[in-house]
Amino acid sequence: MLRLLTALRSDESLMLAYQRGDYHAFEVVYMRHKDKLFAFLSRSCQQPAIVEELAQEAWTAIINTIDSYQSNARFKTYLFKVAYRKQVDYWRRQQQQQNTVSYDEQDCYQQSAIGSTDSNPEHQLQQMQQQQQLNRALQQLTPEQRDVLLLREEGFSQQEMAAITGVGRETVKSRLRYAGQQMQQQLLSTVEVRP
Amino acid sequence: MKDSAKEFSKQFKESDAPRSPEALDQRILEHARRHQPAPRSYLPRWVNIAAAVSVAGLASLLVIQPQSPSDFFDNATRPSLEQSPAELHTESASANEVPTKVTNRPIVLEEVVVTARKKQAAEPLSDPSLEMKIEKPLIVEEAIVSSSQVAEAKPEQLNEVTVTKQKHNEALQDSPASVAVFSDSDAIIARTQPSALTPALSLSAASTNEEADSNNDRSLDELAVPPFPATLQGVLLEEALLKQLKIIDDLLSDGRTQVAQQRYQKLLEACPHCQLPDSMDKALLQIKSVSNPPP
Repeated sequence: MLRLLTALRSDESLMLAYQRGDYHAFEVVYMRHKDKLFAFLSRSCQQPAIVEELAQEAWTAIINTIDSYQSNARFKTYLFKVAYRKQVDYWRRQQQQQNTVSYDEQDCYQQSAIGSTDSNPEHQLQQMQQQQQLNRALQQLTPEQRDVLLLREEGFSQQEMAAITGVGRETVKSRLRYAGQQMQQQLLSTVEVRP
Repeated sequence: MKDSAKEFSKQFKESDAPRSPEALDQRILEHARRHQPAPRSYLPRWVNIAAAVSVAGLASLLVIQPQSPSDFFDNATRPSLEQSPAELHTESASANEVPTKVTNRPIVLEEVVVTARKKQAAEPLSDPSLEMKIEKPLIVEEAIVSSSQVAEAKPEQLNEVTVTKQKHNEALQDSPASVAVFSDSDAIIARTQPSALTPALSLSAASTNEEADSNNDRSLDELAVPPFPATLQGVLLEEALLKQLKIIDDLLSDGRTQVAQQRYQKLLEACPHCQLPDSMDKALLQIKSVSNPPP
């Protein structure tokens, strides 16, 4: 009964409960959002080690700053904002170390084996091909365009995307428009190439 | 544009989204458990603030609050020494009409004496009805008898009352002053507390009757002190007390010290809340010191 009630509570309420010392409240929130965040980071950069590191950094930052947490905005927005900043910080650090490699040129989109639960081999193959097409299309986008596109697929509004990425709403709209055009071209070319 | 976006969303949803590995989950949850904040009270902070404010408010109210209402009543009813005789008379009259109220303030003998002396000085000048009562005490006694005894008396008891009245007339001729004063006080008490003081009135009437019979009987009757009910306070009690002390003083002046002593003991028993001195000598000394203050 208690678990059911906890599951019905909002993310913000659960985080406030964790702030007051209720560990299980955080557990519920983590289970709600862990896969979405990991998927966002994985689509943005498909190196599993980096993605894991970024996800862990994001969650750790939220845990460490729980004392100052305020439920002003949606928790999901807050979580993705933290993760996005960790991602940008990571690439900036890499850029400083290598000094020659840019955010765009990172080999972030190396193909990784994507596990599938489908037992049909034909269907599994088709899914894999679709995934590769999608990843290739995403690879053609700039990181900024890719991020807003991925955030939109996570269900964020333009206002929330602006808050996460730290840019204006018009900038988000513009990035989304260019990203859409790029994706259209990539997908059409893939269909034309396909025999 | 919209089609491409829909196509992308469709492919995005169909694609198998990567899931967070279990090892990562364990690490993050372990970190969350280790850095779990100390359990806090579920009461918001404003509850503590509100409690503190309410306590402070109650404390300030207690500080600001004036004295108890009984103190106000006593201050209002107690005649002050600065008041004129006319004002004192007005207050005395109103005190006789308004039912008295129980207060816990102790009666101080000096106050009683001073107040009563002031009143006695003022009353003959301003209240002719009181003079009449002193001149014709029989009227008061008749009223007492008719109010307390006649109404309940049987025919055979009525004869006794008539005889008592006759004896009482003789007694009044013997010592008019003391009995008149005593009956006056009883009459005032009877007007305000008839039910409580009926036994007292019958006692006083009986004592005056037997006083007329013989000296021995008289001395015994003089010991009969009317009870001072706890409900009788303020001016009325002071007057009654003073009358009793005056009687004792008269007895002393007549040389009947033992009788006066016994009467004072009776008075002590009858009025435990009057805070009279333990011995009669002390009481008389106080009265004299108050009535004749040192220069």
